[in-house]
Amino acid sequence: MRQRIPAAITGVGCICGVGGTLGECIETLFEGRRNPLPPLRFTSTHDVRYPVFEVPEAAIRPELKNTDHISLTSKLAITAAYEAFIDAGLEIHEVKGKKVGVCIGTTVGSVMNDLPFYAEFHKGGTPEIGAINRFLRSNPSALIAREFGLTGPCQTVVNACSSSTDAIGIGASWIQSGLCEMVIAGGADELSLVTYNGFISMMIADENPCKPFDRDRKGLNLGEGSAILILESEHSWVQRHKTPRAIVLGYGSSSDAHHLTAPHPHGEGLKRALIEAMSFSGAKLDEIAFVNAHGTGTPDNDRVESKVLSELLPGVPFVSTKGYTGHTLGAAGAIEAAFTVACLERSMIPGNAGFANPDPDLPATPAKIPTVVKGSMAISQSLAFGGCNGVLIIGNRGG
Amino acid sequence: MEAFVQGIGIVGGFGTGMEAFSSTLATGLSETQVVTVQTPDGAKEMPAFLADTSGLEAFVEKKTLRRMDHYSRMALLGAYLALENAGILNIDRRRLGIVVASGYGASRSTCAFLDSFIDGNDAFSSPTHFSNSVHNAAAANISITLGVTGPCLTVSQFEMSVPSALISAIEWLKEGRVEKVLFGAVDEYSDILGYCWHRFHGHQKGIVVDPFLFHEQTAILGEGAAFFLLSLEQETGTSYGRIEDVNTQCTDGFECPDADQTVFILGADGNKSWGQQYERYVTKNIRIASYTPLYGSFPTNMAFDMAAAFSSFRIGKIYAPAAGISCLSSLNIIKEEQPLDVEKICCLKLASKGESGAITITHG
Amino acid sequence: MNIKENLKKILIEELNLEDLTAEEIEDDAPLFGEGLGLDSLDAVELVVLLEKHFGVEVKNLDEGRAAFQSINTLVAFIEERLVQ
Repeated sequence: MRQRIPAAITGVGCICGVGGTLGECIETLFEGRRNPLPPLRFTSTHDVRYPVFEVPEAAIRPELKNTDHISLTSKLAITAAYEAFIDAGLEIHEVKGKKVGVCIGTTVGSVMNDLPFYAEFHKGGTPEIGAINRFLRSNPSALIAREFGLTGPCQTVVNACSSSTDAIGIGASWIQSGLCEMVIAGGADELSLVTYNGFISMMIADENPCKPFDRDRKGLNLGEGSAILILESEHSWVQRHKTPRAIVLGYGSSSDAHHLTAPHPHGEGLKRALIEAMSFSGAKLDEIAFVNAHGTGTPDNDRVESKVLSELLPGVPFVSTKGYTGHTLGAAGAIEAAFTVACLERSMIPGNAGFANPDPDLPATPAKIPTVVKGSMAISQSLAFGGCNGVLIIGNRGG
Repeated sequence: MEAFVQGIGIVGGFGTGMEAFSSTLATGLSETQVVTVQTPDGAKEMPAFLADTSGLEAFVEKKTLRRMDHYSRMALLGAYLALENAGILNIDRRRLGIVVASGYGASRSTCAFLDSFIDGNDAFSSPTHFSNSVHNAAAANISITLGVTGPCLTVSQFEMSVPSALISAIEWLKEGRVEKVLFGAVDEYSDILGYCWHRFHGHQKGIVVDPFLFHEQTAILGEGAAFFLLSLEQETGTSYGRIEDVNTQCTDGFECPDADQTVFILGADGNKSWGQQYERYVTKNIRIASYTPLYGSFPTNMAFDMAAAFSSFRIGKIYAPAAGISCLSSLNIIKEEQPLDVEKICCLKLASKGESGAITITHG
Repeated sequence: MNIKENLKKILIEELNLEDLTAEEIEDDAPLFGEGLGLDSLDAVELVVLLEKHFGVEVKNLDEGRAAFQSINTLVAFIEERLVQ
């Protein structure tokens, strides 16, 4: 592979069910606390109230609360972006008018599915188009670009559950090729009755708090949130006298080409993505400190992932953090990348919330309690509907 | 930044395939169908450019398409046609990537999923419609049906979806992540889009799109898919030409290039809200054309503009504008078919919030 | 229309089995894998269809596995649940 410019991570922001900032989230993770509850923001007619991980309104940026000019997904993204800016030591005026790229993953954030609007239309009515205007204003990448006055390329990645792993990998490639000196990369997604119904209809939602990799796992819980990473070229952060928190060392992406909703039974796509990421980064097995797994808690996903991890990364500690955050869909990859940066910094991973009993069919089991890890790199991976597999290799700043 | 285009597959209101598309460009004639739209004044009929995907049956068994919705079918047909057009239906699927740009995604399946539970019983939610409603269903269906195991990417950036996604497609080639990319765009017509269109714009007055009347609303809704087989290396025989440059941003600040060796194909499609952006930026110094009257307005119609540009290079001519449009503007509009006397064609798309996208195409 | 005829009609329409007629769907042939060739996504769709058209609930796919073998087993399952 030809020489490319490393993409450093100089700032991180994160908001999700375990906290309104990355610091808060990490503290909660290492204390082993989680708070899955039935949804408050919407009601459903299902007999069972499936637990979800909602973000309280209080955690959103003050000027965005109690407004409805943009979607909740976009509000979450902007909130995380501001935290990332502060973390990176950036002032807005430094980036305004600059060719800074924006690459954000989402799913709900890009779909026009406002329920009151649609309900009226469905009945043959002619609803007002306020909801449509809100949707047209709320493309997450475009909104972030406009919020900060950025003139680089905008890209909203809609690769289902691997969206923001892919968004970060793509954003990193824009740095690596010299297209941009800085990229705002990440993901955002809000909870919605639409996805709630969708996953329940697929019979892959757990009626109880989810149990990734556990023998008795029954499915996922949904969550919401956003994480934003400021990616920078060396030239840019050196000029700003800012030390990176971590580096994006490699990214792998591969398709299962198997089924619209079920993962490849042998995880062939995930294996290829892992091998590709390792190859792009030049990483060696003994340098990998841990894996932040996709670990949704569904029988199929966890079985496939455990198999692949035991084959390709035997003995490497891994954890799913979805037991704390729920599955945040388009935001998952970014939230987990943010957690990966923080865990690398403290050389520890939290315990896998929800995991109590190993499944005899799974060859590898996650960390049950907070665990010290050794190694200068870590992996964060995502598997998506449609068979997209995305893998990021993140190195600590010395690596 | 550059990539060669070896094959193009396209389906839309004009018909199916590059031959039909080039023929439509040459005659300047394209027929619309009629759709019925729910309005405050009752049901109204409106013209729309609708795509027919029956051409898929030449490539796959009908039962493979069983659950596939219109959005995925258009994309899959575009993909197959591009490979066929390049003469490599048996391409190595391991080193092939798929990039799909879509403004609104699987609009019909999104609505079908909502229909399944909106009457009040969440337990009736349809998992099939849900699976089809995710934006990346088209790319996934192409990957599954063709057996493509390289990376897949779907981008949704409204009118900037095409240039944005194209940047990433070319990055993949430059990185050596893949050897070729099936890069495509797809958007579909749906009842809800028709309804919103009508609420925004009112009843269609005429049935001719007039892209250079920047202050008038003359757009007609369209749908379709256009796919391009991209490679870093030029391969002998089928190359249509080269993508030399791609730029896009979502904030104001576009500067119109002053280029005498370039013809600009404007993505102006009769929509007043971005017609006025063209008026702000496009100067008399540049020669302009537009072919949107032949395929209609949809967020990713810039891919059709690209196909028109490549077709121009293939035949060595700049096509005349579509029949019936006025060229009264004081701008430097190409009014009739003429020899292609420039090195480059730049497809230019501007949208209502000041977004801009420019894709520059040149000879192979 | 009896349950069997109704079920076949629903399968054809809702699972988009366009080229099949009710007569061509053999009552004992496997629905999943070979036979009709349905898959895991069809299985969860079938759960919804049973609830919607017959008011019969399938709580999990283990419960459904035996019932979903063929048209006959499905009909028997529906009849049994309707009696309850």
